[in-house]
Formats: sequence, C-alpha cells, structure tokens
Amino acid sequence: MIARSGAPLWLALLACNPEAELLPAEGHIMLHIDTDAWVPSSTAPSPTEQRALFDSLLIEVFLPGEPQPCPTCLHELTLTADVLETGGSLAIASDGAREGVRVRLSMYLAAHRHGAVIDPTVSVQLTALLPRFPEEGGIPVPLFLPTDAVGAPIGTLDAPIEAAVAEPPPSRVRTWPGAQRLGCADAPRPGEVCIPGGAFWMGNLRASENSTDPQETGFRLVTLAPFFIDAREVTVGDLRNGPGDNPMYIALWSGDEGGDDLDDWCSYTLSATGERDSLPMNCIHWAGAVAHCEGRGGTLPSEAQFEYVAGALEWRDFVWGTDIPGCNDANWGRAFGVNSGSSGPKTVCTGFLAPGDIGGPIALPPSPNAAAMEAPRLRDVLLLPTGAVFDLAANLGEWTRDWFQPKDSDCWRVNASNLFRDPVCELPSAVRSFRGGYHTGGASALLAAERHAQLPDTAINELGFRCVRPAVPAVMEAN
Amino acid sequence: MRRWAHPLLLVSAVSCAEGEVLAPLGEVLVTVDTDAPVPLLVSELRIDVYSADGTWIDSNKRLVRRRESWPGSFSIFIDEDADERVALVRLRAYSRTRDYRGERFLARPEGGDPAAIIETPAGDDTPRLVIDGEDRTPTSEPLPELSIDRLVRIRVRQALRATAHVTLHLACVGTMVDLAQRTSCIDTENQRVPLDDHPLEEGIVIPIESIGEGPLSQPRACNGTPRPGSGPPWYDGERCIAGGMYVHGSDAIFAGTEASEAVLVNASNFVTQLNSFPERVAVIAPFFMDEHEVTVGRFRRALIEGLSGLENELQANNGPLATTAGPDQIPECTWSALPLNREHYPLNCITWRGARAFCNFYGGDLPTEAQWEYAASRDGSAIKAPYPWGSETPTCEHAIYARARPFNGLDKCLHLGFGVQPTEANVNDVSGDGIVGLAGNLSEWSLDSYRSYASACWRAQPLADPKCWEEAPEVRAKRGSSWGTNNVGTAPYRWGKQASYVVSLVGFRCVREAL
Repeated sequence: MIARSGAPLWLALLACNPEAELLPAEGHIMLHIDTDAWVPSSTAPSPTEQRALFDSLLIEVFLPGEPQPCPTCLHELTLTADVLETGGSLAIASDGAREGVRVRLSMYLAAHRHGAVIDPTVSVQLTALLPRFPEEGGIPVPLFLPTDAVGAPIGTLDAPIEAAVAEPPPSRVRTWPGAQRLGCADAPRPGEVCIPGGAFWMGNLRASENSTDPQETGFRLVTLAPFFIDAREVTVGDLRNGPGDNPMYIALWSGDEGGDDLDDWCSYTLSATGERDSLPMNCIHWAGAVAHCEGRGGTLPSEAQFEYVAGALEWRDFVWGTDIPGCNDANWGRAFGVNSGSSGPKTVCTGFLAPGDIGGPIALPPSPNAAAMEAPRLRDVLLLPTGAVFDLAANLGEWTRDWFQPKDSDCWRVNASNLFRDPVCELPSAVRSFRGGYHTGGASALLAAERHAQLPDTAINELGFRCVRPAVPAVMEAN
Repeated sequence: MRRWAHPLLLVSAVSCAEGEVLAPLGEVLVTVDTDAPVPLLVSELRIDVYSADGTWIDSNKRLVRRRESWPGSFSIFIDEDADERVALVRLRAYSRTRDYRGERFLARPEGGDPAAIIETPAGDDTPRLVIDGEDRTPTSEPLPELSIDRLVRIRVRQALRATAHVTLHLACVGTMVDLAQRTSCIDTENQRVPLDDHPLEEGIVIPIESIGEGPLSQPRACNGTPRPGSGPPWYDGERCIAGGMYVHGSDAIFAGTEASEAVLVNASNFVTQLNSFPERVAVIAPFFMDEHEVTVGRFRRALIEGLSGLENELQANNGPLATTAGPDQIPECTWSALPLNREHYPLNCITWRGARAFCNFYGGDLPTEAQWEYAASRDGSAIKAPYPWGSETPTCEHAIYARARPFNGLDKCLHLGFGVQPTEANVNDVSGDGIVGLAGNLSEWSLDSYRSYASACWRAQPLADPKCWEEAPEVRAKRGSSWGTNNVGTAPYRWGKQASYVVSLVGFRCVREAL
C-alpha cells in the first residue's frame, strides 16, 4: 500500500527522491479531501480575520482487519485553503488488497498536538471504508470533514462509513458559519466596543486547570455571536450615576490608605468625590454587578466571552500575545500590607509601588490613548478596529455570568461534540466564576484562559466587573 | 503549480507529480536528513528562502513525523530572466512553535550576571515576508531552543539540474542561525561556521536511506554497579539511571513572571515559583541515584562513620513526631539526637549544605535539576512521562501529599495520616527505574542555584548535563512535591528554598557518577 501525491500537488514531503517513480500503473483511488473548516489561507490574516482553527491533516490507511495503519500509510499534511480550493487530492494505490481498505482522516491544529498524540476531542475525525480498487486507472472518492463534528468522530475502524465513487464537488473550505466574523449591525452606546462574533479555542495548556491534568488538552471549540462590551471596568461614578447603585451589595472604602484593613482598597464612597469616582468599582457582590448591567439592558460577560476578548479574539496567552508579563505591562503582583497574605507571587511587583502607595485598582484617564499606554498598564489594552478595550489582563478580576464548574462538569464536558455555541454555565455551584488578573494576583492570573472562582456574596477588593450587551448580528451574504 | 512571481521558486516534491515534466529551467533538488529522534524531537521542517542580499522571499513548512519520511526533498527553481541566482536557504527541524517574535538571533551568553534574564521581546521591527505585495509572514516560528537550525547557500544556474544534500545534526539543537553574519552550526554544538567555509557540493549522489538516529540520542548504560541496599532503616541502595537525551522543562508550566525586574525572594522571604520554560534539549550522562530519600538512620550511620561539622545544618526533634498541624515545625522534623523509633523515616529539616555534605561524604552529590527531572519522568516508556509512574492523574494512593493543615486542599489526603511518612509507605510512588518517593513525601534539594531557565546561567549551559551552578546563591532549587503540597506537580515543576533554611517539607537523596 503506497500513498503518493497526485496533481495538483500537496505540499507534503512524501517518499520522494530522484529515483521515485510516478503514479503506479495499477489501479488507484484518488482521495479528494475537503472541509468547511477555517484553515490557513495563503495570505497572512488581517488583524480582524478569524485565525485558523485547523491547519493539519493526518491520513492513515488500514489494510483489511488491521487495527494499525500499514507502515507506509501514514501521512501528515499542512492544510491550506488554496490547496483545497484547487482540488487537492491524494492517490492511494493498492499493491494487494482490493477490498476492505479503510482510511482515517484526522484534522487538527498543530499547536494542539503535544508530542505524538493527537487529542481526538480537538480533532475532526472521519473513518471511511474505501470502494473496491479498480484493476487499472484511478477512481475519485470525495471525503468531507465537517467542523461541526469536532470531538465527535464520524465512523470507526470497526464501523466505518462507506465512501462512494463520485466526482468531487467544489470545495467548501472556510464556509463553516461558526467562523464567520460577524460584526454588529446596531451602534454601540458610549463606552461600548463591538466584539465581532466568531470562533475560538477556549482553554490554554498554561492555565492551571489544564496543566494539572496531562490526559486532556482541555480545549473547547466555541462560537460566539457578536456583542458589545464595556471598554473599561465599571467605575464608582458609573455605578453612582447608573442603575443598581445599592449599598447592600457594596463594601465601602475605609476612609484611609494605611494598608491595615482590607477595605482600605475598596473604591466606593457614600458621597461623591471627584477623585474616587473615576476608580473602577470593586468590593461588590455578584448580584450588585448583575443589577447594574441588567439595568443598562445588558448582563455580565460569560466566561467564554471574556476569554475571547482577553485573548484578542484569537486565544492568545495574554491580551498582548505570548510575552511573560512584566511588572509595568499591567497592574498585578502589587499586594501590600494585609492584602498580601502569605503567598509570594502576589508581591512580585510590589517594589514598583511608589513610597506610601499601598496598591489597588487604578483609574483610567478619561480619554486613554490606546496607542500609547502608560505604566503600569503599558500593554493591558486590546486595540480593535471597532475600538479599544482596557484592563482585561489585570487591574481587577471581573465577575462573569457563569457558575463556576470544573472542566469535567456537565457544563464543560465534551458530550455529543466538542462544539460549544455561546456557552454559559447555568449549573449552580457554591461559587461564581471570575476572570482576569488583579492588582494582588500572580502573573498566571493574567492568562486569558485562567479561571477563578469566588462566593457570589463576597465583596473583595480584587474583584470588579464590566458589562456586555447582545448586538444585532451584521447581515452576511452567503458566498 | 508553479509561481512565477519570484526569481527563486520553491516547489515541493515536484518530481513525484503525475504528468508534470520539469521545464528546462535551472533547478537544485535539495534533500534533507536528520540524526535527531523523529518524531520525539523533530516532526516538522521549516524552509525559509532568502535572496543573496538577505531579503526574505519564501517560507514553507512540511510535516515529517515519521523516520521513513527522511530524507525528504524539495526543489529550488530559477526564472527565465537570469543565468544564475544565489539563494540562502534556512532549514529548521523542530516540533514546536511559538508566536512569531521576529526570528531574532540568540547567542549563548558568556559570563555576565548569571541571574540576568535574557529576553527576546517581540517588537514592531520584526522582519516581514512580503510576496506579491502581500504580507505573508508566518504567524509562528520554531522554538529556538528545540530547533536544529541550518543556513545553506544554493546556487541555481540556467538549464542545469543540480542536487544538494543537507544533514541536520542533533548536536546543533539550540544553536541558532546568525542570519546577519551568515553563520550556522554544521555538526558541533554552539559552533557557527561561515557559509563560505562550508560550501555545499553540487551534483553529489543523493542518499535514499536516512542515516537514522545519531549517538547523542542513544541510551547509555551505567558503568559500574549500583550500591546494593542494606535494608531498613537505612534504605541506602542505588539504581542505575541510563543516560540519554530528553527535553528538559515544560512549556505548560507557567508559574509567574520572570521579567528581569521581578524579585526572587520577597519581603516575607517567600521564594517566587519559576516557570518551567523555555524548554531545552539535555543529554544526560548515566548516573546512580539513591533508591530512597536519605533516612534518619542512614544519616546517623554517616555520623558514626565520620561525617562531622553539621551541627548547625540540622534541626533535631527530640519529642514525638507531630500527628496534627501545629504552629511550630520542630515536631514535624524526623531527626533526633538519640535514636527514637523514626530511623526508617526520610530525613528532613536539613540545610542544603548539610544535605550536600552527606552526599559528598560518600563520593556522590545532590542531583542536578536535570538529573532529577530526567529520573522522575522515566516511567519505562520512550516518551517523557509527567509522573514517575506514568501519566495517571495522582490520587492519595499514588504518592504522599496533601497531608497537612486544612487549607486550600492541603489536607486532601490527611485521612491517611499527617506529615512525613516512613520510607516504606511509598508503595506506588515508584519510577520505571525503581526510584521511590520522587513525587511525594519530601521535596528534595537539588544541586542547582534556583534561576529562571531564561537566565544567563541556564542559557549558557551545554547540551550535556546542563545545570545552573553558582557558588553561594541565596536560593537553591528543590524538586518534587511533599506531604505539604495540595497536589502533585508533574516532573518539570520547579521550586526553590533558601539554602540556609531547615524545612520539614524538604529532604534529599544523592546521585553518583556512573560514566
């Protein structure tokens, strides 16, 4: 059994050297592989374009009755849209068996492969029984890998689907609706930024929940509808002048900045002071945050929405990319006095506080310049064509709409498939999720995918919020 | 399937294609082979083409995850306009990438502050690949520490079909190409050779069979015999850890900042946990390792046999061992001035200096971080295991951990008993080599100074037995989880502790050369 590339060419290193012969004279099957998946294009993506969700394809050929692919029957290819669009194909020639040959295709993202193992939950996998090999010449067999089947293998080695001889239809590459970047048809209100809908891989190997279990990569394919998000964390002034201003949910500022009382770091005061009103709101219960957002016709972001935005819509480690956080990149690691407890990572950047400064959430200027940010939030900004979103990496952790449930709970387990559409965990637990790093947190808390939990009726100085509001999806024309 | 936009064209596996007959243009067929392990270390080949003046003109990658796929080939063409063109071709064999940071050159540091973090921040001045006016810069680049990186010069002449062959040697892993100087590693670690000193032969016979894995990645047996154990309470036997190549560290373990401004020890004397990346390739020489953590009885025997001068390096507990968490750590210490019934317990509450003195006394030393991690990730399979026993997620039965106070899950396994446990309690915490208690019970002192893998100290290290050595750093590395951790870290997890501290969570074991 030999697999060789046919015309047009796959960009793959096959058993090719000057002595290699051309396609065999014996009968062969031309596999025409296609997908609707968002694979890399030949041109670099624009900043707003959906990043590739899959980029690699593993092809394994199994002889009748064999549970392992034959020795020369395993090929991995780099997928690109232009190869699929021009009708990429792969010839399989038989040097013996004519019937009962199976082929298994696994489409995945190379970055998800750690070592030799491809995690089936993050792959689109299809196992097909090939038709009888012809005595001579080639017959075309089209196979299609639908993105919707991620984590839900189509066919198995024991029960493969039957592949039929047919002329290949035109490629449907990059037509999967989930990956279409849909903008907002309605206008944002002041202070909001449109986040176009799209698809992303939720989860990160560096996040603590994933790194403790080497068995599962923990990635989830998530699609989101477009939404509006507050450009900044809700401030004391926003709350005071907006809905949901309910002292029942709020711990007040202690009135001094000695660092001997946890309320020294709380923002809110009963009477308006110009200075403190620009501080982001903290020390507020989950219900208080919800009340404000709902009063504005919105809600809290879901975990998925927050991670999507904090990962710059392309599942980056941090909002700025992969660089390890520096102390002035964002407001984190500045625990002081009774806020520091006994844990070390919280104080990594305390030396950056000015004398007399006890740390805490910091205000944004009224008109921050997203192109020229200043310490200590040099890089804590996401710049989109629709606007800039600030303080996603740190300053305050932010309440989300979800109950906190572990990755193996009913909310997040891979069931029928590993595709989650606008997921929100409504399965009650004792704690609500919050996301994002905070002024007393360690660097790992700045990971877009890092998950945290907190009792909903606690008012702590590390935790604030921002709101989201559903957008009317922009109209898209079918292509 | 040809593109004509550029003077030099890169086309893949052209000679295989049905019906495609090569036009009589200049072509050089380049074959590439490697002696690195496939796919353990190498599973992709990245091909970047530069014109003679250094302009980036093409980039391509191939998945080559099977040994049978080597040697592989590709062709470089010339257009009709020129009689001759010269291309610089950068070949990289690797398996892992990171986001594009500009492919910037990173030399191995010499001298300087060992603690200085050598960073390569991404910037806006990174080179871009522009083809037909479109920016086609790849979004990722091979991890430099895990790539075999080679630069060759290819001369393509009109109407001539030539061949060239390149072997990517494992010895060059981590030695980056210097594009500005036009130098790259041929086959000797950390040695870059100018292109002109190593011209490629043209027209040579191209090998069909791969040369296969070279000696660097082959296992190496111990020379000599491990010391047999004299049983409880000493538990002093050794096991052989065969030498070999492995990837040290883990990209997935992100503990916190390693920016150069960050503090290693904070005002509360807490040592910041360090990341376990960047990963690197390490070639570990065979060595003998203590089967168990050094016990109280074994240490007492050493004092009788002449080990001395360690009065201030060890904390004695002359009362009973604590059975519950208390405010003072002394009751958690196993050592006693006179033998109690704890001689079979692992020894804790000893400084780094005391532990090392013990190992030196018997002709050995503390394990380096790399030796420890290598030993703790050998479950008997060919792949680096997360835990000594393999990849099973730890439970209270796998190792002795979470036997401490009820806080944040530190007491998850407390129902099985508080604190450090006797040596024989490590029933399942056994590696493929038969090393016991690596994952839990006590954390263990390492020889190394505790420094970031991004520091000059680590960056300066060779492939062979890398270690970060400083004479008297404040903090030494320690490895492995203990009865006082809420979970079991995987083998690459790193911790540090002030070398002068005596801690009830920390003990040690020794290693000895077996070359």
